[in-house]
Amino acid sequence: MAETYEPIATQTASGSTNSISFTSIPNTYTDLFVVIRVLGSAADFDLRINNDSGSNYSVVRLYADGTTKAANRAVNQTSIQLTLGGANPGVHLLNFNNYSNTTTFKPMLQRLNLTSHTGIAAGLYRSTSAINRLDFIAQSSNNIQANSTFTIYGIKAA
Amino acid sequence: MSPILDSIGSVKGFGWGALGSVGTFDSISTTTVGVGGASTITFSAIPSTFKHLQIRGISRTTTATGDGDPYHMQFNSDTANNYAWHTVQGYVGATSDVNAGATTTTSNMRIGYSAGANNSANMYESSITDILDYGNTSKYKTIRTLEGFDANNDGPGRYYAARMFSGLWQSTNAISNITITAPNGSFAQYSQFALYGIKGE
Repeated sequence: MAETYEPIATQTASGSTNSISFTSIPNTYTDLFVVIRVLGSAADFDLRINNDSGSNYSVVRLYADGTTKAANRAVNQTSIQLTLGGANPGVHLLNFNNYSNTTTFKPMLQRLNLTSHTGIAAGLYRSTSAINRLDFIAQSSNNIQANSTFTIYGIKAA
Repeated sequence: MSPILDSIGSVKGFGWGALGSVGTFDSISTTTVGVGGASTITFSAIPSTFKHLQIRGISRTTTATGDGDPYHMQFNSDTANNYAWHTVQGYVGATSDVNAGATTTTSNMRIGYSAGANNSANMYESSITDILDYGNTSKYKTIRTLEGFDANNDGPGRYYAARMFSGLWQSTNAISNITITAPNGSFAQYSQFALYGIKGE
């Protein structure tokens, strides 16, 4: 049994751009796992897949901030908003199971642990295309704080 | 190991949390459901050489009830009432809420809700289940699952939810066999469950 969990790429935010892009993601794995350590931003940031800006995204979330627990949902979005109430410092873990098949729409599972709140989310990209690009984009042209890191791993099933 | 992994603990192998030290993460077996469907997915003869197991999957069933069709897990072909499970979910449909549920002294552990036949053909739910210290013969076995499904208003809209599950199997036997069952029908074509082993101390 070969080891099947490999880093694909890592990027570190410069502080002067509002997006981080991973292009040409290989289709040789079964799942993708993304670890984001964000050091803060003046605005929320979003995920866009395959540079598709159509209204093909939706997400449902469960979150709590220490006082309030809640669920919310957004449909027919042009991206998936990964944060709530601003990109407070913390860690996001994103899972794209079966990202490279060309038969199913692409689900996403997120766990987020931020200084502001904790939560989980289930997202959907309504496309049967294999995922070959991920863009993380700060809203309202704000920049992603310098030294925030984004790493993609590939997981390969037997 | 990358700095990011150092910084947040050993996320390797646990896509929704850290656990133990980083070891190797190996693929053991994968089942992809064929055109005829399958009511049960079984991983048998699981090697005892790992510390933990993880199952990563996408699923859809042939059942046309609501937006989510529950499925469950059993170990070592044990169908007695030796299981318990809990869940917390945030859901949004006609209403939205955060709620919790549990079933104890039962014959299986619920670990998710598949997309169903009321959803468009390409909709699949995804899940990640960690089976902790599965080879230990001194303690009962516990699992945890991150799972969710959103269908963008496709279907009746009852079960758009992000969920966490925990489960208990009250046995000290090492786990050598895992069964995942769609009790109301069958897993549909292209549903896939992949079993991984995680080495650790």
